[in-house]
Amino acid sequence: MATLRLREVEKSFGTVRVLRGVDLDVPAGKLLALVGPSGCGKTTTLRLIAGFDRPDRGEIEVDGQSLLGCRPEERGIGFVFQGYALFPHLSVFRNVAYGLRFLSRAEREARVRELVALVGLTGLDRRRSAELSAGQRQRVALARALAPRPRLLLLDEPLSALDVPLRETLRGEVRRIQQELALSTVYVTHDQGEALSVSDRVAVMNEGRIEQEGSPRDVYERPRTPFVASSVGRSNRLDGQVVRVEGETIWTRVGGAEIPVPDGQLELAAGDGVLLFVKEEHVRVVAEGRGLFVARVVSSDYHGDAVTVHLEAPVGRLRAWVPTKEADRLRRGERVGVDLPQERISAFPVGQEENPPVHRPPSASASDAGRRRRARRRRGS
Amino acid sequence: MGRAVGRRWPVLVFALVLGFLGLAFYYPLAVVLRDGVSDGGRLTFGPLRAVLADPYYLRILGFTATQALLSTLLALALGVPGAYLLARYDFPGRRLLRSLSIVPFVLPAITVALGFVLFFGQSGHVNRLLMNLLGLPRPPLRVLYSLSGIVLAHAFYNAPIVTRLVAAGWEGIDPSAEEAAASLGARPLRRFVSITLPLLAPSLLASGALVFALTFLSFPIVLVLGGARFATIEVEIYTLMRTLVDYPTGSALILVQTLLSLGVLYLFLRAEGGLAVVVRGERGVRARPLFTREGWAGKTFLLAYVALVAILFCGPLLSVLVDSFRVDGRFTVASYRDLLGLGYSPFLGASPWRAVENSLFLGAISTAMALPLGLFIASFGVRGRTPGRKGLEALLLAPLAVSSVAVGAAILRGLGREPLHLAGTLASIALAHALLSYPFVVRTVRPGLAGLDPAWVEAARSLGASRGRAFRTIELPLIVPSLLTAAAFAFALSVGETSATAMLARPGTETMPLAVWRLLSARQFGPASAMAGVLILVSFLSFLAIDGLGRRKKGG
Repeated sequence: MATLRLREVEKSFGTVRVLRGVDLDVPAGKLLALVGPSGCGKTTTLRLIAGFDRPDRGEIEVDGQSLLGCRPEERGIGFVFQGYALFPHLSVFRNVAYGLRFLSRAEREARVRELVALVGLTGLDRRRSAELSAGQRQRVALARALAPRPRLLLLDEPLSALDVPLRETLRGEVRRIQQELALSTVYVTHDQGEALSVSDRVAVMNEGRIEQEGSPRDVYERPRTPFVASSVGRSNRLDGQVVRVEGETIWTRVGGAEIPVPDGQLELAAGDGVLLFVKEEHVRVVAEGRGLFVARVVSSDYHGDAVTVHLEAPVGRLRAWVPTKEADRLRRGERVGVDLPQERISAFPVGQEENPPVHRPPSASASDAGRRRRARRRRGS
Repeated sequence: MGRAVGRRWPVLVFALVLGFLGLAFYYPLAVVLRDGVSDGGRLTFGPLRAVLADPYYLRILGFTATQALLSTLLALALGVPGAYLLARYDFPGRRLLRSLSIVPFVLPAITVALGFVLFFGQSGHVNRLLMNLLGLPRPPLRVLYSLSGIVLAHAFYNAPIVTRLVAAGWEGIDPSAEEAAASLGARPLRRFVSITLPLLAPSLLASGALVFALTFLSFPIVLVLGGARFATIEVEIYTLMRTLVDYPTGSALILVQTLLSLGVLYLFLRAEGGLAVVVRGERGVRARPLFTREGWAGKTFLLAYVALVAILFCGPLLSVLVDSFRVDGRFTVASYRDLLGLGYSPFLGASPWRAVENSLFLGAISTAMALPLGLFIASFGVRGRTPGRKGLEALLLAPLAVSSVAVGAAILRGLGREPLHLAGTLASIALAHALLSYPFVVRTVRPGLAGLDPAWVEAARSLGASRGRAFRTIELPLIVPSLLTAAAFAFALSVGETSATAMLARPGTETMPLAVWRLLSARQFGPASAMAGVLILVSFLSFLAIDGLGRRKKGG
C-alpha cells in the first residue's frame, strides 16, 4: 500500500499550458477518480506520474520519495492504457508475463495463471490480441499491469471504448480487484457517473487545475467551485443579485423571483452579483400557489424511471428531474409551483468563475528540491 | 465503380482489359517462354536444361543473387537510420527527406550510373580531389567495374525506399506499446528488442524484399558499372537476345529469372500484408524536436547522416550537372547546344534531339494507356465482388513479376514479327512502357479509391443526387489528385525506362536514357551529361508534380 502525492505540478507542450499547478493525494489503498472534460489535463497528469513525460515544475512522490529521478521502468507503477496497448505480436500469456522476467519459469507461469484467472480469462492465454473482444483486451491489459505487483495502478479511461452494459460490469470488476489487492489507484475518466460510483475519492479537473477533491458524496452535494457545481450532475444555473442578508440566509433576486440561499462562507453584501446552481432532482414541482414562485410546464423528456420537466419560470428556464409516477399528473401548459430547498442551492460570488481558487500557497522548499533534482537529471543524460 | 454503372458494361470493360493484356502481354510472353522450353516446336526443355547445366550461367545466377543480397543489406543499413529520424523526430528538412523517398522510382538509374562514373571513376571528381589533396600519383579509389561499385550504387539508389517503408512501419507502432513495456520494467534495449523490432519486422522484410527484387532485376547500373566482367541475368538476357541473337537461351534465362523473382515478389506481398496488422494507437505519434537543449547527440547523428547522404547521393548527381557544363575544364554550354542543334550524332545514329522528342512522346502515349488500365484494375481490386477476386487481381498485375528486359523481349518476339511488325517501332516501346507502369498506377490510385467511404455516395444519393452526379461531384474530385499523381508517376517511369527500351529500340526510336548510355559507352562524357541533365530536369519536374499533388491529397 502506497500513498501518492503531487505538488504544484506544471507541464506545457510547446506554448500550451496543460497543467497549471496540480496538487493531488491518493491515500494508501484508495481509488481516486480523476474526472473532467477532455483536454483538461487528466491523461497528462497520469503520464507524468508514470514517467512517460516529465513535469516542468513540481514534485511527484510515492510514500514520501520523489519519483522524478526515476525512469518509467524503475517506478513500479502499473498503467492501463486507453487503447490497451497490448503487444500485438505476443499472446495473452506473453503479454501478461512481460513484466515478470525476474521470476523463475515456474513462478512466472503460476503468476500469469493467477492473474488470468483473476480477470476471468482462463483458457484464452494462447490467443493474440487481434483474436480477443474489446472487453477481453481490457482484462488482459489489467492483468498485465497487475502482474508485477505494482505499488500504484494508473488507469487511463480504461472503459471508454466499451459499450454501456460491459462498461458497468467491468467497472465493478476493476473496483473489486482494486479493493481485494488494496492497491492505491488513480482512475481517469470523463464519465462522472463512473467516477462517483467506482471511487473512494474524486478529483474534478478543469483547465489544468484540480477544482475540488473529496469523497464522491462531498463533490456531488457540496461543490466548491462554479465549474464543479455546473459539471457534476445535472444542474440548473441561475444568475442573480444579492438583495439583503438576514442572519444565516442570503436573499437573492433572480429574474422576477426572490430565492433564499444559505450563507455558507460567502462574503456577500447587498448588490453583489451571485451565481446559483441547483441540481435538477432538487427542483421540487409542487401545487400552484405553494413554493417560491409559479412556473409553466413547457415540455418533458421521458427517461423511463424519471422525466425531465422543462419549466418556464420567472427565473428563466428550469429543468426538474421528476420520478415518472409523480410526473404523470403534469400536463403541458399547466401552471405549477416550484420550490428550491435552501440547503440544496450552491451559491458563488460572480467573478469566481474566471478565477478558480489556488488551493495551497506554494512552498519554497519543495520546488527548490524539484529544481535541484531536475538539474541533476539533465547533467546525467 | 463496379457498382457504379449498371450491371453489364463493367463486364464488357473487363473483357476488353483482359483481351488487351492477353494480346499485349500474355501471348508475347508465352511466345518467349515457349522458345525457352522447346526444340523446334517440341517440348523438350532443352534450352532450359542447357542453361541450368552450364557453369557460366550458374555463375551469373550466383552473381545476380549475391549482388542483390549485398545491395539490400547495405540499402537497409543506409535507409533505417533515416526511417528512425523521420518516424520519431522533427527537424528542419524532415519533409524534404520524406519526399526524397520516391526518387528511386522517378530518377532514371542510367543517370545514377553516369553520376557514379563521373564521381567515383578513375578520373572522377573524388579521385582527382584525393590526388590533389594527398599528392598521389595514381587514383586511390577503385570502386567502379567491380562488385563493390554495383553494390554501392544500388544501395544508394534504393535506400530511400527502405526509409519510406520502414518510417511508415515505425510510425504505425503505437507509442504506448513501448510505454507499456517501460511501465512493466523493461529497459530501453529490451523495449527495442522485444517490442519495437518485432513490430518493425514486417516493414523491414517488405522493404528488404522490394529492394532485393529491384536490384535482382537491375539493368542500367549493372550494364554501365559492371563493365565487361560483371553481368546479371538481366544484362545477360539483353546480350543474348540483342547482340548474339540466341533466342532460346535468352528465353530460358527469362523463365528462370521470372520464377525466382516471383518468389521474392510473393515474399514482399506477404510482408506488406503484415504491415496492415500493426495496430495503430489511439494517439498519433508526437514527433519530438531533434534539436533540444541537451540534444547534441541527435544533432551529431543527423549531421553525420546528412553528410553521408549528401556526399554519396548528391555527389554523383551534381557531377552529372557540373560536367554537362564543362568541356576540357572550361565552363560552356556547348554540350547542350549540340544536343539541340546537332543534326546527326554518329554515336546515336540519329540527331540527339530526336531522343528527347521520342522520350516525351512515349511518356505521353504510355501514360494515356496506363492510366485507364490502372484505374480500372484498382477499382476492381477495391470494389469488385467477383469470386476469386484475389487470383484475378494477381493475374491483372502479372507484369509486375516479369522483368523489364523480359517484357521488351516478349514484345520483340511476340509482336515484332508478322502480322504486326512492331519491332523497333515507337508503338512497341509505348506498349512496353504502359505495361511496366500501369501496376504503379494501380498502387497509387488504389489507396484513394479505398479511402472513399461508400457512405458518402449514399449520403449524396439520399440528398437527391443521381448515381452519376454522386460520382461526378463526390468520388471523382476525391480521386483526381491521386489520378494526377499516378499520371506523373507513369510519365516519369516511361521517360526513365531503359531496359525494355534497349530491347526494342533502333536508331531513330531511341530514347534519352539510351542516348545517355550510348554516349557514355563512347566516352562522350560532355554530351552524355547534357543528355542526362535534360533527363534529370524532366524527372525533377515529375517529382515536383508527384510530391505537390501527393501533399495536396493529404492536406485535404
